Amino acid sequence: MQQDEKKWLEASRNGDSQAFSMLVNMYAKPIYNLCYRMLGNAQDAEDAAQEAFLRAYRSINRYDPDRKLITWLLSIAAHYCIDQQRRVKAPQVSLDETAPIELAERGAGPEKAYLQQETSDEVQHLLSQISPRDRAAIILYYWYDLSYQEIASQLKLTESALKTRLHRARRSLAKVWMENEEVPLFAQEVV
Amino acid sequence: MKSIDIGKDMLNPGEQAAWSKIEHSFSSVKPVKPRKGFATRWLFVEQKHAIAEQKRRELWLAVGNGTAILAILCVIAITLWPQFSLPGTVFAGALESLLNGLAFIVTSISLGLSLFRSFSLLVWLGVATAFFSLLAMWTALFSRTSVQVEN
Repeated sequence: MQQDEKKWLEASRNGDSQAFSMLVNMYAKPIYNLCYRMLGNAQDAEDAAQEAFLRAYRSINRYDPDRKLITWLLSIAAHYCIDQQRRVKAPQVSLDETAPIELAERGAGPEKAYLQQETSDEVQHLLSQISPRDRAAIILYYWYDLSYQEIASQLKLTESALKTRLHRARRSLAKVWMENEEVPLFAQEVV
Repeated sequence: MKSIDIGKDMLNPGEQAAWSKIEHSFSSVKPVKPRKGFATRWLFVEQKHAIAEQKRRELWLAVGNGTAILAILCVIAITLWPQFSLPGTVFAGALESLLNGLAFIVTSISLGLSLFRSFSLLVWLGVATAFFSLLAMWTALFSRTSVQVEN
């Protein structure tokens, strides 16, 4: 896998878009997931993920092979989503356009699938309540196995600034949760 | 799923309880995935962008060439202006030179268009500058020689 990645990277550097599309295929899920959690709807997430890969392909010669490719791609996607959010200003959560969650245990039944979708929507709603940069920090911390150092470098922050952001985001989310606690859905657990 | 290990003590008990529930929600959420064929769609988007980029370059090239041709025509007209009043044979010679020059430019443009993909815009601009400088020198030389022949 690592060998393939190197081969595709090398070919991409020489302008082979087919080779880069193999990398796109490899990293589509994590990049799309980040964009979805950042932007809140499937269509925007698709567009943002496509654009992030396009930007990565255009600047492939600036990629430092010492860094993990996924980290670099996530960084591009996160910055693109933050910029998009700044332009739009208002949160873009649309529960009508939510993406289907990955139901690994689809056989578990429609009830569980429904609950997972509901939880996903609620998490999305919560995330939309904090600033794009704080959201990016929370998403990268929770959904990706990245260290403080990696996230800080991606978001161009110091480690202490990142920790402050995470703490602030956590407090904001807790407040929103407490304000909405009477909504029964929040109290439900997905087994 | 990681848990934030900083500043927990800075939250009040209510916030801490709420945060624990949020963490639980986070951990129960599955990652979302794109529709099938994401990489194929990306290839299509990339090709569309590449075509748009190519068109943009060609437009710039056309605008640059148009401007350059106009500039050259101006230089030639200014340089040859005194000769327009000279006898017909000299004027015909000048006109022939002008037409030859234009033919040369048109040939160069078509050559430049075919070479454009191989060179960056900066390289191309350098070549164009050198070409126009040479053409201006040639025009000035031609003008001086014509005047000397007439004298």
